[in-house]
Amino acid sequence: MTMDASVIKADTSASVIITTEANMERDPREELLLNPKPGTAAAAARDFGIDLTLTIQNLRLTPEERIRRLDSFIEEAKKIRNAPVVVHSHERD
Amino acid sequence: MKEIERHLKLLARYSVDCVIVGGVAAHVYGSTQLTYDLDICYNREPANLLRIAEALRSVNAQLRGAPKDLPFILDAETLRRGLNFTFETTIGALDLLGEMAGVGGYPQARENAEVRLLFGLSFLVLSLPKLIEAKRAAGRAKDRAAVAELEAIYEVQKSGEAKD
Repeated sequence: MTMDASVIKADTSASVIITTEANMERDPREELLLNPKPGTAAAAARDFGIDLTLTIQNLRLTPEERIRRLDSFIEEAKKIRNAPVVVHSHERD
Repeated sequence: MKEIERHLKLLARYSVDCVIVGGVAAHVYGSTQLTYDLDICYNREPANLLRIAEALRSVNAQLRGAPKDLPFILDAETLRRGLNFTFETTIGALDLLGEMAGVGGYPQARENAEVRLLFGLSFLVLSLPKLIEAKRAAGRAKDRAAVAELEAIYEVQKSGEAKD
């Protein structure tokens, strides 16, 4: 892309900054996962169905942050699993 | 405090000799594959079995999936007679592995482990290449997905400058 970076100020108190590809510096290690070369393990993982953008997000965290995140997932999953199930009956006699 | 964190702190509090393996180890390296339990490969020396039994009793560990009336005495002798155990505790699921495919027992796991600092405590975590071997040897569908992702992460690590 050749566009300059643009800045969009949202109506709310938060500002949203959108940068274009042109001025983003990509970590070369992340590039290996984002655009894997044919024959690499990253390409195999992508072809297997692994969403490597999620992997990149995780790799940006420290190991401890990764465990905290996993713990949060487990907690949420348990909440869902233990939530009461409402069954609507549509039976007619 | 959450499940994995509480389990790790429990193991540290009772000075349990073990290596973190399985899905939690995979997460340490950056995997995104969800896991619900902490797997450890444990030292089967008698003193360590005593510490493990004490730690497990402190969180009311029960054999996961076993009938509630199944007689089970949680002590070092029971651990010595068995090898791999799956427990449900008051703080979540914890699996004890005396041996694991692709690795062996605790001595082999320890030889292939790295020290990682988590929650201010040092833990041994199975090395990434050995973890990949273990997952490959386990061969379940979820392991195949884990292997694919871990190999990609390992490739990135080997490319140099990896964060950890």
